[in-house]
Amino acid sequence: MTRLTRRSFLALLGLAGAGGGAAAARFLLDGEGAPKWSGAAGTSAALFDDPEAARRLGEAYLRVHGAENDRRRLVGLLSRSEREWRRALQDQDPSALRVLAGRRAARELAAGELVEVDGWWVAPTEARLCALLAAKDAA
Amino acid sequence: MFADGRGVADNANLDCDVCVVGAGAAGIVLALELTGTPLKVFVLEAGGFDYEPETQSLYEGESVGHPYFALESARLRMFGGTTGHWQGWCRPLDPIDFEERSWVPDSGWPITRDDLDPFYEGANRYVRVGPYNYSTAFWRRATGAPAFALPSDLVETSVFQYSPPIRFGLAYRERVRQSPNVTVFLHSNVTSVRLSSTGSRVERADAATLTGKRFAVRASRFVVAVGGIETPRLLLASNEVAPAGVGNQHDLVGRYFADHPHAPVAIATLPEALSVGSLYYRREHVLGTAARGVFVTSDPLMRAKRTLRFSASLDPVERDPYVDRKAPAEKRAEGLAEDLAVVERGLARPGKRHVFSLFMRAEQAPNRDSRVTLAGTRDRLGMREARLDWRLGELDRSSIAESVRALARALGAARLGHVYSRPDQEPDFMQRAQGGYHHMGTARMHADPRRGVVDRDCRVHGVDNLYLAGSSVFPTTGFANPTLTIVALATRLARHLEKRSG
Repeated sequence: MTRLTRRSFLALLGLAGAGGGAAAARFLLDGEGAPKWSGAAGTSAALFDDPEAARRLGEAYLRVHGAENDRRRLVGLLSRSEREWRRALQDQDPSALRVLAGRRAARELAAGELVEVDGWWVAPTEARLCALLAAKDAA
Repeated sequence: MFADGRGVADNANLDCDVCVVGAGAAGIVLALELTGTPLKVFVLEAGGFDYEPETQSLYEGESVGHPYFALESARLRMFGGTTGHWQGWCRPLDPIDFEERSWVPDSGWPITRDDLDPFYEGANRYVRVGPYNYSTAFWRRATGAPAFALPSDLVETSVFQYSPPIRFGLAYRERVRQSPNVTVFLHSNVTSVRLSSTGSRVERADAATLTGKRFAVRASRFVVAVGGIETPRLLLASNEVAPAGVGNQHDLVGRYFADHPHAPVAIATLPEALSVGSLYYRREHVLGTAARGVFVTSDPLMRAKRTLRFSASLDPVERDPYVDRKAPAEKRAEGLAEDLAVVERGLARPGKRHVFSLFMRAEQAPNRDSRVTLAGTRDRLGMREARLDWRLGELDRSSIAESVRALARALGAARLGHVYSRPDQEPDFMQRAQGGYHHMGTARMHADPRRGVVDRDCRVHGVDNLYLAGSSVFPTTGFANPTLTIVALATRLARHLEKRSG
């Protein structure tokens, strides 16, 4: 697992959503003060002012789509060999990821590509970004 | 002017030029539109000015199909009719509602929206709403309230105006009283329309009072305007000459009963600020009326997915009385809504989000087996009661589910929010669908007498001088409440009767 440097971690906190940096910090750390998510999962977590909420949604998604319960596979499904996506996920650039993900999710929904998560219709991209927070790392 | 059937001489025969049966919205409009013409018009109304339990009990009947309201609760037997409890929603049918759609069996009217437009404008005045303009752009400007920018190939915004609501019996009583050539006979229950021996004309309408009097009205022309359940009841019961009932030579009278399925159909997470200030909340005191936008599936979506008309209004979920917010499934859905709000803020737009209920009013597909027939029981006047067998079918169910998915796609594509679909989550969702007291289709309009009871002029096929007014003549229903169209059709019929008599 890639560990965030202190500098990049603070950068992530600064780019967290409407919940504000301090709130995001609480959720981004585990009980011992280490980042709870790192790498692509950490980038995804930084999108949300309450990453635990996103994780719950991801967990609900993976209950039905168990084959995707693997972070590396999810990164593959999300990036689909698109360079911009790989860069945003691996280089831990949440602001770029937000733009890419928002656009793609809107296109998916418009095209009728819906997945159901506990009765809610969501875009596959949204579900997978959340699933990153709940998925297992590859052995 | 007003008279009372209880004061008419027993076994009297009264003569007029036009006899209208029923003084609900259609009957009152006919009376007013024919006022000042050379025609002598009698209107036979079963009730009085006020609700009378004894008279109302004549509306009792059976309901044996999809759960429906008690028949005596779903309509009012009094001067003014069921406008005595309508809620005022007004919108004309749209052009597509008049079209024959290949994916909707038995769809299509023999008239177009253009044929009705001149009469819709007058109808707007009768129900006392604002200008005859239902365009969304017009009402966005008039109210200053925005509508969501939704993908037009999926979902649009349509606007309803709200009548105060006008109780026709109160609002127009004085004008009817002052009419020099119209007489309304209250407490006059028509129990039969009597055909000539050849069956090609109505000779008289037989009336009875609860006090035991009987009399008849003879006229050159007759109009039955008693609503979508009572119209087939009366025609089927009038079987002295035609055993199958008047106008029923092709077994169509009473068939194709339709209402608009009403139900809470979805939950949506949406930006609170955008929603509360939007056109989807009822905007009051604008151009002399109130107006509100609803979500409507677009023509391209309907054609592509072969769905029926569908509309959904927006309310905060806590205000929806049809939702049990303590139910575990509901709590789970709302819980996940809060998690989704986090995702939406992260990916779409910041700001407070709220959970809304989407309430459906949809078109029902024409269904030949959904019908009104005669029950074995009789009312106090000896007339067989009505038996309603309301049926919804697979096209109704699949159309509703597909329409909710279209809402999910549209709100998501516009990056507004997400949708929880009840039809997809609740196996017995269709059991929740209720009617809206809209009784339509039971004497449908079609140029071909083998496919309709009345022609484009609302004249009963095969009976030269009998016409029908009201929503019983609708071949399809759209999603809009029927009152405005009832009034427009009645006005059109009045002009036709005047021309035919001239």
